[in-house]
Amino acid sequence: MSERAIEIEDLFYAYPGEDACLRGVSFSVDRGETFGIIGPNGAGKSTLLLHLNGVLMGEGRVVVFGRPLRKDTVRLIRRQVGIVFQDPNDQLFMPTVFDNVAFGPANMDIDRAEVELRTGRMLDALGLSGYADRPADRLSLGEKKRVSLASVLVMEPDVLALDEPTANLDPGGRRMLIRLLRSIPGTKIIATHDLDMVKELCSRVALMDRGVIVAVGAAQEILADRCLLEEHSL
Amino acid sequence: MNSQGLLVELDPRMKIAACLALALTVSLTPVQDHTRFAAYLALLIVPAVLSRLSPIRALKRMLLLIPILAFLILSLFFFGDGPASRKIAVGGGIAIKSILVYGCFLVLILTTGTVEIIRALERLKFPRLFTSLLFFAVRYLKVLSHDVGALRRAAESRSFGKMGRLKEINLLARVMFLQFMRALDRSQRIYAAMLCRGYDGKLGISAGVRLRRADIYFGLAFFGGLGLAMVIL
Repeated sequence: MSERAIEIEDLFYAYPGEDACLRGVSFSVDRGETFGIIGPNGAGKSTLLLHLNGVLMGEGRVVVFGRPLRKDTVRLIRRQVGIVFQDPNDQLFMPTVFDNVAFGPANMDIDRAEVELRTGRMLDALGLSGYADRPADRLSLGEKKRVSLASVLVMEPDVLALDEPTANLDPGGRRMLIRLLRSIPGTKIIATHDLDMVKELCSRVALMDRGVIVAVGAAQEILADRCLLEEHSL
Repeated sequence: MNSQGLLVELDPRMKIAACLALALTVSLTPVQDHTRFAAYLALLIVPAVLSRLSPIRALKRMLLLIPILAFLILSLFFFGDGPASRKIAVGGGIAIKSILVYGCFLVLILTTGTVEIIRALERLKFPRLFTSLLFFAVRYLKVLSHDVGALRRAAESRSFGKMGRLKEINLLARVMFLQFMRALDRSQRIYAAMLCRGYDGKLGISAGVRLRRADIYFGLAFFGGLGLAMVIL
């Protein structure tokens, strides 16, 4: 497999009837790296994440572990890149915790016993033992975020992409999630405003504004550049 | 669920099958067969009593049927053809059948969780699109009503208690419309989340759970009783 987990070249995308929200985005993420995408609201971070596994397909080149994203490769790439959405209510669309976590494996052509085994293991690993039959709408936001993460990790993706993982969490929930993310091995891409979390978790960062990558570099360098951050509402 | 007895423990598939069979039989029985209706009522009440269903709770829910029944029967009297005695007979028949059919579904709902009912429908090979929509409805009705409540409170907090009844209705209509537009947006995000996890038209992971001995005994007793009521009485 390629040493580059993700390569994006000259990516353009516009939602129907709107101005372009990605305008020539290019960057790459190495295997095993934790990469941050920071930027103000409306910068295009969430839209960019949706291009990583072909939910959206703009103009330009997206390559995942050396495999170009095309209609014939999208199904395979969706197994490799798991996306955790910002609002857990969008991610937890099934009635119970078990159904939500088991949804991905059930679509992977593996037998039910294996689906149950994987789901149980993942719930245990994320401190959610005993939650299987709980209705998704009766969880706290922190629990919902953990179940959302479990619902993606259970598919054992090579790349984990997270959209604003700490948004709306209380300080305790935020710390717990950061600890959890640090303990997860593999390539991670985190789109966020939470610069403290980026400082704790990411080795490199891309700063995005109005659909353009403004700067890419070592997290410490970019986060230390106060002028650059303030110029882009961070 | 509001009870802890016999029916609660049964496989929801058996309960749905029994409920549909009884509802269908009641609907197809001629209105003058009062003895049969009494037998059907017994078939409904005995399991409900054995399930320790709260009669007050069940009767309260039965009250919901009254306005609909009243509307149907009054329409019959005002707009129906024929002598008054015939209208009374037909109206009585409608009332008996409605109460029994409504009672069947009420007992099912009071002894089975919503998710279990949908899962059972899936296992009974109901169309997947239908069961998928039910799953979504169960999951998102609460989210939507919570959001509507939040929007309403936000508007009320800026009305300084001066909102009249008409304005309140107007506000609710606007909030519902706004929520509908937001729901469309949300549906696209949910669909994206489903695609990310390999969705290809299949929802849920129903297992082929076998019926237990208790389910089979209940089925034999219930369908046997129904058969006897239809054939002998």
